[in-house]
Parts: sequence; structure tokens; C-alpha cells
Amino acid sequence: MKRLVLAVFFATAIGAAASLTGEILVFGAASLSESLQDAGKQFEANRGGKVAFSFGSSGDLARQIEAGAPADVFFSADTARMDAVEKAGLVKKADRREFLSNALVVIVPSNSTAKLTSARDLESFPKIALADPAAKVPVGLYARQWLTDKGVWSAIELRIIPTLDVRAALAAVAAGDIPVGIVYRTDAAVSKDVKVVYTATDGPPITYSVAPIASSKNAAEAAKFVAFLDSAAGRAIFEKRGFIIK
Amino acid sequence: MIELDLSLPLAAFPLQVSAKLDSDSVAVLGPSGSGKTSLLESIAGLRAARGRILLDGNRLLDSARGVRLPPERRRIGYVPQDACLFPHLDVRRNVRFGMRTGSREGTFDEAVAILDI
Amino acid sequence: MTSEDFSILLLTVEVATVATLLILPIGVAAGWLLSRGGGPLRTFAETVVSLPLVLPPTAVGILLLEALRKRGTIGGFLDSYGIELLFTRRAVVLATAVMAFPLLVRPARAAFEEVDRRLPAIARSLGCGPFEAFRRVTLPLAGRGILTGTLLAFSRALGEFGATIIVAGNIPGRTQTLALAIFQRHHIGQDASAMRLVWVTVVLAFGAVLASEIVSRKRSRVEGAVG
Repeated sequence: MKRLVLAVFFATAIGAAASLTGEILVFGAASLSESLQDAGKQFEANRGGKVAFSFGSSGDLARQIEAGAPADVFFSADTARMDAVEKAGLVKKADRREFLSNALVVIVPSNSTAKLTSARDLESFPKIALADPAAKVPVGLYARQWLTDKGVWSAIELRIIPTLDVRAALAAVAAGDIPVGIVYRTDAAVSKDVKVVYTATDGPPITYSVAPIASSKNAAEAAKFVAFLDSAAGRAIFEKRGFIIK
Repeated sequence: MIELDLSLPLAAFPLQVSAKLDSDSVAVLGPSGSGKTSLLESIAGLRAARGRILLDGNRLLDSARGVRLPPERRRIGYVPQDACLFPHLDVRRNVRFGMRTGSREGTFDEAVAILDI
Repeated sequence: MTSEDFSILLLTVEVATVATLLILPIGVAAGWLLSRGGGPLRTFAETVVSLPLVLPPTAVGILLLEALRKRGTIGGFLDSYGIELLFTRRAVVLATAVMAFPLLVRPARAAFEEVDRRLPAIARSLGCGPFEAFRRVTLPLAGRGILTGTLLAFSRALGEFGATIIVAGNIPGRTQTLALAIFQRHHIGQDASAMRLVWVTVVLAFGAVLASEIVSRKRSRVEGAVG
């Protein structure tokens, strides 16, 4: 009996020690690739705790977290994906921070002469790159909402080339494989092979959502990282990359 | 009459043949590897050779003048050692294989009679 | 099976059929050429033809993408005629054809090699020109092997995924074959719906491979009868 107690004690102690020095794993929307990595570096420099990232479509990431992926923080490009994770009991409502926004833009390859004066002009393109709304990628859902509100969606729906996430749509336009695409303004800024020809100022409200995963083994560190992101220093990092602070 | 003045490249050596063949039947004898089959194939046009082959005055091959009649124009029937029938055709179709749309039906009956089948 | 499932099945069968018909004349010709040649050139050609069998399909997809995009060799040429290939059903056919090609060529080549060289020669002596001898003697004798290869190529075409998703994308109604639809449904968590399609592909693949097995075992009419 005494040996069993000792074994459990040591296992717990080692486990606790590992969590203390463990790095936190942040699942982030693809559009946050550069800004989150900037934030991670600053966080590590200030506090010494290591941060690792997995970027992808918020839809994929939410599904992975629900399936048990060991994420410590989830930064989603819309609130609906966070709602799904919260509904699965993995995130506490009180822990959610929603301070970040973005804008939808229409992009073309930089050497293209195409112009857009309204959403309806999208009808002149044979193919449109967009992260797949059917796979619940937020930028795809926002774009579909925007174009439905404008009465354009049904006309262009069949021309959409669905991509796995927003960066895949960006890459396709940057390579010239697809003549036009819809991404976030912050994504367009990342590539010099595309240019913005239209900004959806009248699009649906875009709200990112970030929260620590309640069941994570590094809950304390995760909470500190999220607090850092929402701090003045953290917000400045996002603003510098072109995000909108709510 | 068949006139031959040929150089045939064989595996081991080039075979030179110079002859005027006048009889109804001619037998070519020689040890294996000496080029008997190759010679027959060359006359039939199924094997490359250089030189001249004249059949009753018709030039089947004349390298000096760039003449080389393809086998289907030489009208020479060729039967290899092991008969070599077409395995994907029945006997009737094998016998009729060379017949064209203009051929006489009688030819078929004659062939069957000769072959005793 | 829903009506959406059925249209995906139809699209898949249509694309696989077109791809197979496309590679049939080229594959038979390639098989014949490879059966005739020898030496280092033939070995090189054989190896190139077999590459799609061995390369990861995604690698083949990337190579095709490079060639087909507007700044690529073939894509640039087609673009000047206003023809777009990427992200269209044509791209699905092309990717599928490339991946299925070696499965047709290799049995075709083997079948031509088994034809006694003297037989078409004898046909020539009986008055056939070279093409006629090929058509009436060589081709029928190689027929069974060619048919086996065709069925194998068709089976492969039904299931093509890696190269297809790269050059054609996963576009419902346009390029989404069974394999791509299974991936999409699984990706968004619709596992039951994906499983339905998995069963469809199992039945389809079973039928295609079974047909190819039966054909390859059937004995020809006069095999070994000549004495």
C-alpha cells in the first residue's frame, strides 16, 4: 500500500512539474499566423514560457478540439466556432475574449487589370477562390453572408472554388491559378503577389474569439497568454498587422 | 527464275549469296546457324538484306537503286518450319486469310483440295 | 443512397470512362512500341511510364499543376486559346488519365510481347500491309491482355484522389468524385454520410477488379491447338 501511494505521488509530482515547464499549444485561425507568432515571441521574451502554434481553418481546429486535440488556447475567426467548443464543455463562457475584428477584401493577382466597383462585379469572373463555407471556415461564412445580403450569392455560387482555409485561397490567387478571391484584409497584406480591388465596408460584423481550453493541463499558463493577447501590448501587435480592435 | 545477289547480316557473320535459281523446286542445305531460314525470309521480304533480288525479272530488292518491295507486294508465300497458323482464327479463316474481296471463290476450294482437309 | 450521392457516383463513372477511353489508343500504342524496342532507351521509357504507379499521387498532382497553370508550359499555351484546365472536370479527367496510364500500358506491353513475331510477318506475306497485319493479327492476339489492362486502368480511375484534388479542387457538382466527396464529408465530420459513399466505392471497385480477373483467366479459343 505504501509503495502504491509513493508511486502515485511521484507520478503526480512529475506530471505537475511537466505542466509547469510545459509549452502551451495555441490553435489559431490561419489569418492569425503572423500576428500570433509575433505575440508568442513577445510573451516568451517577457515570461519565459514557450508557445507553440497550430494554424488552420477555425472549422477544422474546432472539430479537432472537440475530438480531444491537446490545445491549450483556441483563437477562432468567428464566435460560432467558439460557441461549438463551449457547448462541448471545453471552454468557459467567462473566459472568452472578443476584442478582434477584420475586414473582407476582394483580391486579384498583382499583374491583373481587373477592377471591381461593387460586389456584383464578381459575376464577371469565371472562378472565385473562397475558403469553403460548407466546411464552416469563418471567412467563407462571412463572405457568403455578405454576398447573400447583396443579392449576388446565388449568381456566383457555382463559380466558387472552395479551399481548405483562407491562406489556400490567398495562395491560389497569388499564383494566378484563380483570377479572384475573397480573403481578410490582413491576409492580402501578407502577399506581394496579390492586390486588393475592393473592400467590403458593408459586410457582416466580423468578430474573432479567443479563450483558454478549460480542460487543458496548462490552464494557468494558457489563461496568462490569453490575458496578454487582450492587453494593450497584445492588442498593439494585432493593430500593427492591420487587424481592427473592437 | 530467281536471281540473287545478296549480303545478309547474320548473328555470327554476313552471309553472301549469289545464285540464279531456275528449277521448280530448290533445296537449300546447310548446318544450323548457316542462314537458311534467314535467306528464305529475305526473299519473302520479311528480313532486311542488301543487294538484289529479281523474280522473273521483277525487282523485289535493288539496294543500288533504292528499291525494296514490302512483303505484301512480293506475292511470295512463306511457310515456316512449324506451320505457324493464326491461333486466334479457325481453320476456315486461316485458309481464307489471304483472300481479298475480289478473289475467286474457287481458290478456296482448290486450297482445301490440295491440303486434303 | 441520396440523389446527391447518385450524382457523385455518375460523375465518377463518367470521368473514369472518359479518362480510360482517352488513354486507350495512346496506351495500346505505347505498349506496342515498348514491346518492340530494346536497350537503354526502352528501359528509360518504361521507367517514365511507370512513374505515376510509384510516385505519391500528390507529387504527380504538383507536377501537373506546374505544367497546367497559366505560367506553366502547357497551361500558358492553352490560355492563349482561352482554354482553362485547372479546377475543371477536364482537369479531373487529365489527372485520372495520367494516374491510370501505367496500369494499361504494362499489361498491354506484356500482351504484345507474347505475340509470336512471325505471325504478323506471315500476314504480310499473305498480302497485308503493316497496319492491316497489326489490326488482323497482332491486336486480336494481344486483345485479352489489353482488355485486362483497360479494366485495371478503369478501376484505378474510379478511385483517383491525390493528383485530382490538387489540379481540380474539391468542387461539388463539378470535380467532386466519390473519393473527393468521401474526404470532404469526413473532413467536416459527416462520418455516416461518408461511410455511405465508402460502400458505394467498395461495390464499384469490387466489380471492376472482378471483371478484370475474369477476363485475364478466360482461355482463348485455340490456345495451344497448333501442332
